[in-house]
This record gives sequence, C-alpha cells and structure tokens, in this order.
Amino acid sequence: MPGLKIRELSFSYDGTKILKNINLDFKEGEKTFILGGNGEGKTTLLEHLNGLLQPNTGDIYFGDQKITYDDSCLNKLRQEIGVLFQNPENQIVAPKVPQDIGVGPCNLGLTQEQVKNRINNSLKKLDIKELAERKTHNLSVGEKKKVCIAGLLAMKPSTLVLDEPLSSLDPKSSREVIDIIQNLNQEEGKTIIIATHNIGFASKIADKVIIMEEGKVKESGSPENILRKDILNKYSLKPPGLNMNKIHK
Amino acid sequence: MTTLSRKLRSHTLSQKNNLGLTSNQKIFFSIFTLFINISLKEVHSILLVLLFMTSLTIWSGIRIKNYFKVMLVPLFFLIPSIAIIMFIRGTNIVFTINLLGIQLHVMREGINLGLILLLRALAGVSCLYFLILTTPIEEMIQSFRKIKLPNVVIEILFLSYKLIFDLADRAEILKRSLNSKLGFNSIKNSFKSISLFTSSLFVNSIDRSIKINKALDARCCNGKMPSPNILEEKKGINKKISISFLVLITFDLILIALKII
Ligand SMILES: Nc1ncnc2c1ncn2[C@@H]1O[C@H](COP(=O)(O)OP(=O)(O)OP(=O)(O)O)[C@@H](O)[C@H]1O
Ligand SMILES: [Mg+2]
Repeated sequence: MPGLKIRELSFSYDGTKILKNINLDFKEGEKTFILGGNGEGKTTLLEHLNGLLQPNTGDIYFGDQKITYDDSCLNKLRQEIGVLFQNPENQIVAPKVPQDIGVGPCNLGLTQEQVKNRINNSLKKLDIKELAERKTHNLSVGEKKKVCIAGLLAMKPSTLVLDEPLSSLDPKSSREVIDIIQNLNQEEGKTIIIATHNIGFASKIADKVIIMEEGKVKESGSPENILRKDILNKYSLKPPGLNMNKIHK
Repeated sequence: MTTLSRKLRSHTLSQKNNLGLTSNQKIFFSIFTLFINISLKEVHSILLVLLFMTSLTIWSGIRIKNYFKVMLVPLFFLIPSIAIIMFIRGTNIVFTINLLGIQLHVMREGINLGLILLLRALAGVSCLYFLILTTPIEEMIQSFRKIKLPNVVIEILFLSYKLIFDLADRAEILKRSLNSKLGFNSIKNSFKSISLFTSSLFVNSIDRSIKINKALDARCCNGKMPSPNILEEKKGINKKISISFLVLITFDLILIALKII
C-alpha cells in the first residue's frame, strides 16, 4: 500500500488563495492528523487527496504515480483512497441505507453477491445492523455519519481520509469509531488521514500531527512535539479546560 | 422533521401497495390513461378521469390534504394562462371588464375552451401524480431500464428526482430558519424574507448539484449511475395479472368507448 505525497500544491477558489505551497508526506500505515481552526483549509486539502479538486499548481503522488486526472487514474485513486465528507448530508446519494453503502462497490463492477457481502460486512463492522431497513433521508446526523463510514469501508480502500469523523457522534459511538479506525490501521495496515479540531482525539491515536493555518502547513511532527501547550496556544487550538498533563498517550 | 416532501417521499418509499399493482402496470396504466385523456373532448369524460385518478391515488394511501397541496402547484401555473384564453377566444361576449378605459371582453367560447383545458390539464396531472406518488423511484427506474429507455434519460431522471427533493427540503429548512428569525412577522419583513428565500434557494440548488456530483465522483461514478435497484430483493412480483389491473384497464376501455360513441 503506497503512501501519499503532496508537492508544492496551491489552490484558489474564485481567485482567493486557499492552499499555499503545501508539501506533505503521508507514510503508509501511519495515522496523520491535520489540525487547524475553522476555514484554514483542511477540507479543501482533503478533497484534493482523491481528486475531487484539482490543484492549480503542484502535484500529488500516490506511491510513485503522479495523479493525472484522467478517468482511469481517478477511478483507481478513488477506489484506493476513501474520503469521508465533513457533512454526511453531502455524501449520501441513495434513498435506502444498504443501497447507499452499495453504491461504491456497484461502481467497482462487483457481482451482486459480492456487493451484498460488502454491505453486510460494513453494517456489521459499524454495528448498525438495525439501520439496514431504514431510509437515508430521515436518519439522525450521527446515524448518517455512520452510514457514510460504512459506505467508505465497503469500497475497501487502502487509505482512509476522514474529515471530522467524530463530529456529531455520541461518546459511545465515538469510542466505537476510534476502535474501528485503530483496528483498520493496526490489523489491515490502512493509512489514515484525519482532519479535526478535536485535540483529545488527536492525542489519543495520532502518529503524526500537522497544523494548518491560512492554507499553509505551519507545524508537522510527532504528537509529543506538536501537541504542546505553547504550540497549541500559538494557533489558538487549545480547547477550553483541557488538562495538558493528561493529553499524552 | 416531517416536511411535506419528506412525507411524500416516505410514502412512495414505504411501498405500501393498497392496489396490488406492479410498477410496470402502474406506468402502463397511467401513461395510457394520460394519452386517452389528451384526446378526450367531452367534459364529463375528462371529469371522470380526474375523479378516478384522484380517488385511486388517495385510496392508495396519500393523505387528502397532502394531495390537494401538491395539486395546487400546477394550478398556480394554469390559472393565469387559462384566464388569458377567456379574453382572446371566440365572438360571443358574455360580459365586459373595464380596466382603466380598456374594454376587455370575456367570450363564451373562451370560457368553454378554458374550462376544458383546465380540466384536461388537471386530469393529466392526476394521471402522473398517481404514478409519482405511489411508485418508488427505484422501481420506476427499473421498469424504464426494462423497456430499454436510454441510460442518459434514466440518469437525468434519477438526478432530477434527487435534486427536487433536496430542493424541497432546503426550502422547508430555509423557511423554518427565516421563521425563527421572525422573517415573516410583518409585510415588509415578509417581502425581504421572500427575496432572501428565493436567492438562497437558487444558490443552494446549484451548490447541492455540485455536492451531489462530488459525492458520486468520490465513489467512482464516472458519469455512470449504478442501478439504484441492484441491491433490492426481488419482491415476489405477482405473476398473475391482478384483478385490480383488469379493473383499471376496463376503466380505460370504457373511456375509449365513451369517446367513440
Ligand atoms: N466552494 C467554495 N468556494 C469558495 N470558497 C470556499 C469554498 N469552499 C471553501 N471555501 C473557503 O475556503 C476556506 C477553507 O475552507 P475549508 O472548508 O477547507 O476549511 P476547514 O479548515 O475545513 O474549516 P472547518 O474546520 O470549519 O471545516 C474557507 O475560507 C472557505 O470559506
Ligand atoms: Mg472542514
């Protein structure tokens, strides 16, 4: 499973520069956390990772292969790299839960039997069998999030890119999702990239932490080096009432 | 949240099938009746279609209140256009409206034609509403695939379905949000709110279509929609032609007979 490399990436929305000269390496099998305040460009960066957005300048490499934005390359990329959107409303496309989870596998050209297996496995993994009969439009936000994660896993990507995976999940579901992430990482060796402003979450499982500000990568390193009071304060990322003594693993 | 659009969607998805018809039969029946309806000229036959289709739809589980709400939508467009016909068709003046010195004559033939048009349009809409409100989109798409409608058409159908419902949801959400900000507490504020509402609905619809596109892209749909039905259990489709279908076809035959006589 190859890693991801970003070289000199810049991106603008309507002439406003959002990402500026980003250079990043995501090593395979590593859990990287991208921290940053609201509107600093985390989501925009993640959407580049499976070709949903195309950089104005700069390149992204998956393994040794440069992403070229033609159909076959994008297809392979999107199969290998699963992106969880920040807002599950934007990710659900089918009217029923199993159908939605099956959209990806169907597109990979699997047989009905295989698709069904994948759906069932995903439902089991996320412990949402009870949603199997439900329609997607009246799920709660947290339930939608889980359905989206299940839809990702059903495509069996080698890299998971998760945009705020814990937002709107209750503590129990959060713990479950963290366990799932850990499992995927440790047992199946999947590369994990997570954008969040949840420092506690990052300190629990990160192998590497990146801090973004105004579309630039400002800090990058091990959680011990980055998740320090002075650094977090500098980027106004220290949550109110967080006890810094407890933060390290 | 149970907005009207959600209620209707829940209903079509619930596949509560009071009539015991397959979606193929429903599609055939409603389109066939629609065509007969277009060729009808007598008010009583058209009224018959309208009443029959309306009661069928309501009988299959749509709440009467919701049905009339959705019927208001075509009326909104029909009434102004038909009102104009009353002034421009025919020679027998029934009465005259004096508008700032301009004489507007309402004609007998115009009234007749307008009424027939109105009824026929409503009857046609009721045929399609019967199909739309009682058949889940996946089943319709599956049937369309069976009759080999081109893929492009089916995909556009599916996407517009999704966008329409998204839009209806957005409209409801926006209305709520404006309400919570007292947007409709005075006439002046209402006007402001309505302009806000329309513009953000417009922007929203474009934004939604971009996001749906992203969601589909992320799952490797490069221009090809997966059959949304591939995962549906094949429901035990009634092989024997059900009695209700025969009844419906008889209705169509009666209409044709009425027309010929
Ligand atoms: N489609 C768009 N058009 C124009 N500007 C956009 C668009 N999407 C995002 N932006 C802008 O790009 C900047 C970065 O947005 P992004 O969503 O990447 O932030 P983020 O770090 O994910 O923030 P958050 O933590 O709130 O999710 C913001 O200033 C935002 O306003
Ligand atoms: Mg974001």
